[in-house]
Amino acid sequence: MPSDGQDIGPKDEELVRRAQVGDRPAFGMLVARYQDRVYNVVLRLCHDRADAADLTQSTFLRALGAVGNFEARAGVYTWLYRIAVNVTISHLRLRSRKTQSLDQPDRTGRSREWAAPEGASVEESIDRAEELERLRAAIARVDEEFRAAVVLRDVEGLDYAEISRVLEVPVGTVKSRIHRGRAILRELLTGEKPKRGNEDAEL
Amino acid sequence: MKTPSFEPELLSAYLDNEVTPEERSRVEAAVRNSPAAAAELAALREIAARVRSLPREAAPVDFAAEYLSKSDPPRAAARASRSEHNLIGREPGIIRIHRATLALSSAAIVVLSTMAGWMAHRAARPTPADSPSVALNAPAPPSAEVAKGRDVTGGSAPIALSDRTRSEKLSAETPTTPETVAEHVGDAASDEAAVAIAKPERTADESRTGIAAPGDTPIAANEPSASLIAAGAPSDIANEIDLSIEVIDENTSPRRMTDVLFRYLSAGGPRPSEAVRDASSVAAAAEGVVEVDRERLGRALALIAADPARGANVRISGDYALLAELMPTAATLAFAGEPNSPDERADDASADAPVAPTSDDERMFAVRHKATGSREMATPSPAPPVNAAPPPAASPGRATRYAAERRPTTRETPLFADPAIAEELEFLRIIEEMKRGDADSASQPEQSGIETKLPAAKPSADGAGRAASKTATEAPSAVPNAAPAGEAGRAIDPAPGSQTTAITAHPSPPPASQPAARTYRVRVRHVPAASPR
Repeated sequence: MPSDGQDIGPKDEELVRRAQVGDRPAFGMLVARYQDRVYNVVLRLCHDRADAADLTQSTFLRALGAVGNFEARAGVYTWLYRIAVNVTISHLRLRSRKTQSLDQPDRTGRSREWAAPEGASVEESIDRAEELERLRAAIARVDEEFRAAVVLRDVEGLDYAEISRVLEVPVGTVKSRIHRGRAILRELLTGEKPKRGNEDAEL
Repeated sequence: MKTPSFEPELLSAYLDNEVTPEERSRVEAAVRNSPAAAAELAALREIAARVRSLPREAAPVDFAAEYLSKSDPPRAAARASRSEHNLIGREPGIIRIHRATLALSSAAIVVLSTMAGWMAHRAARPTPADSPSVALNAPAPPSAEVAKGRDVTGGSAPIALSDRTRSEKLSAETPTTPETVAEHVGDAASDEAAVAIAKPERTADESRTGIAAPGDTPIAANEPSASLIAAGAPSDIANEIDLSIEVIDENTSPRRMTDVLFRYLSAGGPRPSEAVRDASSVAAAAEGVVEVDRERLGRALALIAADPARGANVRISGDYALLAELMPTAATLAFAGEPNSPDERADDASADAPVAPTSDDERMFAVRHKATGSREMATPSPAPPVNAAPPPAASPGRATRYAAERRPTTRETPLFADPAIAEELEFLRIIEEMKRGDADSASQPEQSGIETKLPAAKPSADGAGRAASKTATEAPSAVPNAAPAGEAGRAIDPAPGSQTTAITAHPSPPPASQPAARTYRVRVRHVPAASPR
């Protein structure tokens, strides 16, 4: 569960309250606290660093515009993730309706992960880069709704209830989407079609 | 064996510890008793672990600082809500253009570009002596024009260079394809690269589709790591080097980059092998020439293209068509040869060739739009130099335009499994087929001017095929004399700190000299950081 910086400095709810009365530094602290997490969620959803940066900014600007109406029933991170996922999915749907740039995959800046850890051989470095690229490409091919559930679970570590609040769907749907998303990923990465776990089970 | 039934979703939920005790017992019983369920659980666990292994990244922008530095955050928020999807600014929070503004700006750009081109055309009447000092001249007037008796003397179209500073570096004349290539060099301060091929006039279809002719606006490519720069590499040509890759030795990474390049060039991949060991020894010697097939070369160049950080320390020079094909994202070409212009259609029709279906034309434009119509604003090309020769009176046929770029192609397999890459390669394959068909039509009948039926390019994968056959009646001079005679140009060195790979392209050798399948000679070497090229 995200809690970057929660233990240091004011709590999220306090920052929101201050932001609601026009305390700009308070909102700035919220942004600083969550910008990396929001950026990573968006990046895994949209598969494009340039877009991810834009969409992260849009997320915070939207949050700024809506902070006055925010009710602290849900966590701030849930609220921010919800905005981020909605903004990103809207963007992806809009993009899918338009023609896309052919060189888009190359704008992901995947090279940042190209470098292997210190001491790694060139082979390890390349293997790792290729593995990450395969994985990233596979995630990008999963349907948005499944992708969002998997990313929130496996990248962000949210539990099903939190994902349910972010995606605004029932927990059962979250369960189904995560399983379906992983099954699709498995098929994309390994070529194996998932079997029914109980296919040899008897009723 | 009896095992309790359960919903498949429970396996994932079980992995995530999101099951009730009763569900847990059911799953565990199933996993104990059913190898399939156990295997499924293991596979899901592995997938989840792989996704979790994706490295986290820091946000590239300190949004908090940006927010706090803004003077009027409520207004910024309002702007953001209004222009939610109007993500044109590449620097987040710095440039955001409203749709209406964008439309007006685009219209203004088109109008101004057209006016500038017209004025330049009027001001500079074509004479052979008028060839601009900054120009890529066609080696011969388009044969179609000769055949039709049109005035094509000095018909070299001007190169449209949007960056005057850089254009000064492109001081030598370089024979190139008859349509005349104009490269828009990307802004040195940005990662963006831009390539455009000049096209004299907007075609009717372009007007209809609303896509600016590349001659009007240099087409911004989004490749972050590379610019295609028009220039020559005569020494490489003389030494039969198809491609020269220079790794600037600023720190330790170029050495690794060179090693990697050699591995890909020699072994076709990162796996160790005898060839790799040999290549490493070559790399250790800091320079070597590798003969490599197209696929390996493509993989090596893809590594550079995928790696802006290292790509900034790499200079590539070589054959234009080869670079354009193997680094498609670096050389996002706005192909000037789509059969969309009225002239071309008339040519085709007059030769009894089936006219390419409109849907295909539209598809080409759509794909080109995809190649170029990203969220970057296409910046207008400046007016041609005052002494620049005007564009040809009519566009030359596709055959003449593509002949000089012809290369045999064997690569059909995408380098990456990424569907966008695959789509791009499919696009390039179609283009290649068009080029091949056109080059064929340019090479044989044009020698004698005899009308000849030629085999057609294959239909594209989506069924929007090219014409089944076509004719060509162009004169011998349409076949370009592609090999440059002398100094063809200079490479543009990447600016210090720039994230731009310097890529230098020279015109392709004559198609006739290329065997059907061949290897490419690639020179890789280290270059001291301070060394001039």
